[in-house]
Amino acid sequence: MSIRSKKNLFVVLLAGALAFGLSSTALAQNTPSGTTIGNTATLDYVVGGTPQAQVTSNTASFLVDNRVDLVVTTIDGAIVSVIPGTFAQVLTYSVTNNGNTVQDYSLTALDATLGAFGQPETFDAVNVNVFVDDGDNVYTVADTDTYIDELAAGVTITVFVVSDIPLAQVDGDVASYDLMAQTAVGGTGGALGGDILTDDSANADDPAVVQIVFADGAGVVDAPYDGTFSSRDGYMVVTATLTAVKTTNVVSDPINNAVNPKAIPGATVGYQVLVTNNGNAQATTVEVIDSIPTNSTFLFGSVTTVPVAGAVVSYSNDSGATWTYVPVLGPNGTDPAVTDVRVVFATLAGSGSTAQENFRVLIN
Amino acid sequence: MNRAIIVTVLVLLLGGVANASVELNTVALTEITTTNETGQEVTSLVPAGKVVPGDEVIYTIHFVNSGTEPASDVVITNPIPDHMVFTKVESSPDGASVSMSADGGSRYDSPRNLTVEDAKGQPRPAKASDFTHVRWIFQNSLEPGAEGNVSFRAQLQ
Repeated sequence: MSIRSKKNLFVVLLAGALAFGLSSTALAQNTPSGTTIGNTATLDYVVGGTPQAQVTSNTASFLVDNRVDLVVTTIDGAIVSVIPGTFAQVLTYSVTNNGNTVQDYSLTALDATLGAFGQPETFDAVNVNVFVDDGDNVYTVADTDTYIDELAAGVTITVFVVSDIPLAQVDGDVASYDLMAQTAVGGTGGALGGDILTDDSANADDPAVVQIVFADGAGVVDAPYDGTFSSRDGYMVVTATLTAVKTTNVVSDPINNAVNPKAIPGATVGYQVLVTNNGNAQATTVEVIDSIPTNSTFLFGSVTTVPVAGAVVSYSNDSGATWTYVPVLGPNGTDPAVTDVRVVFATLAGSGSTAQENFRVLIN
Repeated sequence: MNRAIIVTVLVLLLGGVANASVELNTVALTEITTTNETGQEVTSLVPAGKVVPGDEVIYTIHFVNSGTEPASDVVITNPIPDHMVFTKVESSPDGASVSMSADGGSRYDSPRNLTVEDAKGQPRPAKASDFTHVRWIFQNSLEPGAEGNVSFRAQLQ
């Protein structure tokens, strides 16, 4: 026999209608592992018109397990430019604990043979080390930790791969490194816990034990669900590659003047030095020094440069020992005291940029 | 006369206690997917042993009238456990209605009628994550020996 409840009843709701809003339910937080989640229901009922004592169910409980999840990402937006022969060059990565447990992480810089940012690898850096940032997001000698100690859930830390670039490397050389972070047991500050190499997927579920569940994705050289993550970064050697080409031409002679002039005594001869930077790096303080040839005399005021801006011209009257001589106008427009001419270009961009020095002499 | 009434009341009370008792048992389950011999994926429910944030737990509450009298006006109430966000009702007995609370159990209503205060103190419709309690209100009485389940799903945060 069915008895209608006297309570005001709602229309029976479809379960589906209750699911609204689910899609907007983001993971607001990661419940810490080891938290006990218990559920208890109660039941009220009436017998023969008399409300009965409330019935309380058992409590169904489980312990929240350790969701191991991490991400390693290089935060260098592009391959890192380095100069041959430099020390402590830095690749920068971030390591994020996306799990629900304080973890340690052991760190390894793996030499990557495939290259970074689409650039094939051509050399290996030396003295390669991994250091954990001390909080300022900049590598300094104060960053000495070689593993991540006690990284709380949801926290990101910066990690550096630091190495030296051999002097022998040439423009365009590439060295790549994968930073591999391996989840390790946390909970003891100041010491690296043991690596967590396997999870509990092979073990029976136990509601009373905090078990380990790998939930990490795949990095550049690691598999998903393995407790590790890796990201690739690299160095590219950029250097200036300078070439200088000197040319000469006879401007005029006393017999033919400017028409097919010949290099005879009294002729005016021009010299040009063209410097080209075919490297990828800008060169600075490019110095061109030219001696006045024997049996010729420097023509006063004949030095020109391309470009004019950023070029500083100086003269020597002692074969380059000093560069403080100020030329004076002498016989036939010459200054016989000038022994050397120097032009210093402040900068010379790479990729085929040029700078030119010109001067003229009179053949004795 | 008075004595007879007292006896009758006593008998009724004793009868109520002895003859109508409803028992309640709850379990936490999770879904696992396995591949059977013919290569088909099979989803089954197992006791919730390995649960990490993001996992969904199915709470199933079993009820049985182990007494000898029908139980009427049956109401099962389940607070949503801490760290869990209600996702949906999984199953309800025939003729039972479901209502929710978003204020710790003071007021129960259809979810669409429930509101909570937003940051500015203005009411806004309650979301799944706002629900604090789920309640089943049985329209039919529970006959002696009758049993069944109610269940809901919640996600570990």
